[in-house]
Amino acid sequence: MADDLVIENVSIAIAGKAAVSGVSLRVPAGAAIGLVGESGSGKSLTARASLGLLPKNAAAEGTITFGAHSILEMTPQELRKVRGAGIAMIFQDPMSSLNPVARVGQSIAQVVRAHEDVSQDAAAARAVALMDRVGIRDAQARAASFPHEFSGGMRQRIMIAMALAAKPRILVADEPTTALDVIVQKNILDLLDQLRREEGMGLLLVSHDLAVVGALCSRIAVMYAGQIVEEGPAAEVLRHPRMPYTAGLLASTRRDKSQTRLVSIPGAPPPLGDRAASCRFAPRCAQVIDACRTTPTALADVGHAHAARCIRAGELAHV
Amino acid sequence: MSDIAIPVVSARSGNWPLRIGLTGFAMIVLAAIFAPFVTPYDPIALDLANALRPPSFAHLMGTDHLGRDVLTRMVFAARIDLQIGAIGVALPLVIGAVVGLVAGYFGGWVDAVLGRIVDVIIAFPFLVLVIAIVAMLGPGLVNLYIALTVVSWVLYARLVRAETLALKKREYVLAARNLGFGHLRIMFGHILPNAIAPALVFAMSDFALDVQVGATLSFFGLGAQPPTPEWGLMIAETRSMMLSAPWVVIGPGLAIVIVSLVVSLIGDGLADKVRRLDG
Amino acid sequence: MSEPLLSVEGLSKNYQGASRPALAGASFHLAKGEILGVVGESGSGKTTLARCVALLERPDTGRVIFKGEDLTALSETELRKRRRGIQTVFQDPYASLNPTKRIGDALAEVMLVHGLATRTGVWGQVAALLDQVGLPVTAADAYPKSFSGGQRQRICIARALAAQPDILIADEPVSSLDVSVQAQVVNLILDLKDRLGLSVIFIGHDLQLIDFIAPKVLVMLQGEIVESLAGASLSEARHEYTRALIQAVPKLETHAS
Repeated sequence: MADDLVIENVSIAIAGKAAVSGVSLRVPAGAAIGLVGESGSGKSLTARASLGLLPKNAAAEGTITFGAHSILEMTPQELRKVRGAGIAMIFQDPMSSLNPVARVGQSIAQVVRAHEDVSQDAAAARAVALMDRVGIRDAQARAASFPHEFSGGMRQRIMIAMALAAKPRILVADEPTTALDVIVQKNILDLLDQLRREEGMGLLLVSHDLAVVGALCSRIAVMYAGQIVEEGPAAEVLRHPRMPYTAGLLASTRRDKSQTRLVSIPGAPPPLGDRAASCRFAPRCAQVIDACRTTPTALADVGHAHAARCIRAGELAHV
Repeated sequence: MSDIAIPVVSARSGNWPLRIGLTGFAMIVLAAIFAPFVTPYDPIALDLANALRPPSFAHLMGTDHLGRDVLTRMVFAARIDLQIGAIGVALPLVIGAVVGLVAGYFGGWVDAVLGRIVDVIIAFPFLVLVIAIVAMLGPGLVNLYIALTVVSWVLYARLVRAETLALKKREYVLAARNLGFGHLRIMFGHILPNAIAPALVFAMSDFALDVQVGATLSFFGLGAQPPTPEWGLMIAETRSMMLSAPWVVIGPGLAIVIVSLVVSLIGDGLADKVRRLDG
Repeated sequence: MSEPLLSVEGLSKNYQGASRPALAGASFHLAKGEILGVVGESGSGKTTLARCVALLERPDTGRVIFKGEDLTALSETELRKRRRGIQTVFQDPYASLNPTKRIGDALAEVMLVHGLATRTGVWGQVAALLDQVGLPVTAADAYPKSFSGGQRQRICIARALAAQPDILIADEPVSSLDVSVQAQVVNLILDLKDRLGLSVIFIGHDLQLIDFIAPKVLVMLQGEIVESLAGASLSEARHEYTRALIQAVPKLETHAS
């Protein structure tokens, strides 16, 4: 498909240390895909790589294609074009990506003009329309305000308006609501969902929060220590997790008041680098057997378009 | 049951500027301490028969206009010049750190008063102020130390104050207050060790600067007095022969450059170490 | 009924230049061994409340009566001796430990300052504290930089316990931790409460989590306590804001629910 974002077997090393290993993921046009993981799981790097936005000390292998473009092989100039028209990204902290001394209407209009040959007045009008589109009330007047005059949630809306200004086919949202309060978070998630449906945009939603991703996405990929460890339809992954890590994450967010303690996963995620071919979750896994520590793992189909990276996925289906 | 793997981090992985700097500095200090054993010559006694000899095996850096071995005088001069650097840094560092810590920690009028004093002193050009104070008090090393201290403590105070202001809002300082620790314990045990790093790094470049200022003042006759061997004074005494017998000024000049270089390396290395401890 | 361990009465705090008070007339009681939850979004005043109760900030008005004594009436010097009774675990584990102090020294310092240990006996107590929070004794020799966020939070808890407090204020202690580690730290605090008879004020923004932890939950909005949920389930929340909070949280439909 022309507008699909396809990540194939991508590995990324930061300063020589493996951070992402062999990740494959497809974001079809119009679909919402969730990428879930904890800090250091490689989820943000993967998301950034799909826009060619890797840090200087990163080395990436594999292929990322968007339509006819091969992202990892493009020059910075070529990337800039694709980033506007094809793929756009929003981040956790909108303040650091907004120009603090520019009026927000101007910032948005600038993006419009970078991608379309329109007059300044037309671009300004588009900016107001976009602000209106992302639910900023009284957009005409608010366009003249500066970023610091907005709340965190409103700034995130402005970032979304800027991203939309280039009419992207894919929107990558990296923890877009993590810094926000829950009520504001819900509004932003609703907005993203609405825009995806109305614009037929593909959405790659990156988050540490399974519930956030589950609320919006049709498919979910779970990352741990640089690998995708489980991938499938959202309902399947959330209801019938086949990888003990996913099951553990789900269990640890459960607030069952009949219990006196939360369910916890022992240990901590491994640091960057030295990453085994065998199961990387084995040291923390309650279901671990000797073979887990020696057998190389692969993301294997478990049925219902659902795959898990666990040699015991078959036997643990009932867990 | 818990995350118990604790990586043991070795702090000394490949900090070569610090290693080279410290090694070089140690060698210079040892040479200065054991100066009489390093060279066979007397640094002060005249030997007019051997005046202005070019470098040879007997006199590796040649002799000066009074027949004294230049290398010998360079080594003996290190005693005074290193002392100028050390005292010229230590006194301002201690005074500045305490003042900066007090001003930053307590804030309010204490900070305001100290801030004005600092502003006034910083407003004067450094060297001009040092020379003015020494000229006022009279030539000599003790007065040089006084002048250096009066002028440069303010820089240390500024550095430590800025760090203290940032650190006192840190949660670990709040925790220390919460734990019922007294002001002195919080200031010296918890803030100062974390606030002092930029001042220590600066101290290293200041050390080099002080050695140069000491040499400069001696050159102008305001520091060490003849026949004391001191690098700046050595250059001053022999500068008229610079063109016919360049070794007489190359020796002490080189000594100043090497000490400055070695100390800067230590400064760079320290800065690097500080960054790692924070990470 | 016996006198509560802590009574907070009408606590208010106004920061210079702010448009509204950060804290407006907060009152509650805390009994020995009780765990009280405080929930609120950013800017709701929950951290100001924590700092005023621990007297890390002086409230403008109101009283903090701890063991029958009004702490707000004490001078800084008198207060210092009583501070160890109310300890805080802060949100950011990376800013909460002095980077230049070894863990063992940081814990020992607390006990030595308050005369809770002798110079010879202190290291045994350090080892016991580390064990209590699930860290190996070898942690005593390491600097904070060697530890992950979850481990640092355990160390902060150990440091608070070193003061042998009556009350532990946990101010968003798990908000900055990895999801898989959050439950460990929450469980540790619950274990310690049971084992040591500690009273705990657990502050957070995750209503469901706070509700799980504490039988009584205070909901804060713009500096005020707008609702107190005691022994009730969340579905019985009355205040419009509390209900909005509950509504807004994305639900996980897992096979277990």
